[in-house]
Amino acid sequence: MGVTYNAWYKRKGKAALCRLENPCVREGKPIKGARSLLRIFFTFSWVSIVALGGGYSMLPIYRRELTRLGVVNSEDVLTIITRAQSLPGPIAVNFAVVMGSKLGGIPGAFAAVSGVIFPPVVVILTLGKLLLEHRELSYLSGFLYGVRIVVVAMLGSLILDMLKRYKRSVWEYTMLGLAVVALFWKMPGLIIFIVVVLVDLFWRRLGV
Amino acid sequence: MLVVRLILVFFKVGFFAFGGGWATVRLLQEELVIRGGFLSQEEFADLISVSQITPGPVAVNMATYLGNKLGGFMAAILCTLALVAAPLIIFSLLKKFSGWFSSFISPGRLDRALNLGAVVLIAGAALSVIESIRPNLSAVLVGLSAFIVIRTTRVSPLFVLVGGGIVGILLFST
Repeated sequence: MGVTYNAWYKRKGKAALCRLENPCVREGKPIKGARSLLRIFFTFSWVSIVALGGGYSMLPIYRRELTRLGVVNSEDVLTIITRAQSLPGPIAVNFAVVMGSKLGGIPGAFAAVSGVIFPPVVVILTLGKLLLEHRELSYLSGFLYGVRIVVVAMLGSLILDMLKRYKRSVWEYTMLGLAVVALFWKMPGLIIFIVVVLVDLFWRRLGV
Repeated sequence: MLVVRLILVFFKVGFFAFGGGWATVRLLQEELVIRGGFLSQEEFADLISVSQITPGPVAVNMATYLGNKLGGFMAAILCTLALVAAPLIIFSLLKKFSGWFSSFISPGRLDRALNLGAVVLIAGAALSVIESIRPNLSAVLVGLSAFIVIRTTRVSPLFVLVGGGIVGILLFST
């Protein structure tokens, strides 16, 4: 979602931005075959591989790799990221949808999405399957358990970044607290999500 | 039938994943672990760990792994496609109807509400993972130090994850 990404940049400092400006970009001069479906597929496959680690840390990499095509400049990439963040789904996939359709219409969107999911599908069907089949091995279970703990820390940090996006009232924080308690009591997440979104949409009209 | 049900679960979940793939994790846990019994809580948590250190969004990795586990290669592909169908559909609908849609709800207001909903679901994802962590001093210390490293340095998340894994080998190997 839009400013989550900007918040990430702010936190990491401007250096992250400057480092990734690509001096070789010739704007308005697309490289040969930049809009061909095969090219789109392989560009997004490549991006999907190098953007290991996931989440918002991979967006600077997207910027670098896609401006290289010469079709969009880094400003365009930022606009596309903002648009992509208002779609449901993994951010990498959304980005591929928006960027792919800009490069090559609906077929371009399909090529980009297939490109993005191709490497993870291959890796999970081979390496991922192997790791999970042997997950009870002593060292491997320790490793995965350690990663589990870091995942929680990462999600905590992600939540802080997302909350920074809007200035929220005490009522909204109260509702957030109640929602987390409800999740703790194993109430269905889908219902809680819908209630929170609807209340937040219409609470001014309700006169709260 | 199992595979059809799985595909429908991934298709449905895709539509609620505002704010990134993490929002799907809680919903998937409810559907697959608690209600469906397709895999154990421990395996689910390990699947999340593996997803984080391999390329690709966590939701895509889950769809591929579970599809393959329950129905083989074709099911893996179909589940993954079902998951990414949502953004493709919503994007093409938005292209056509965004003017009509924004006439009764302003996009800014909707974005704001969806952002809060996404925070709730991501908190749910964190709770799902926390459930499978034994709350002892070393786990809390590892978590806190990881959090501090993530918030204060520019280290790529991948290195923090692998670092956590190496500490895990030393501390938590059975």
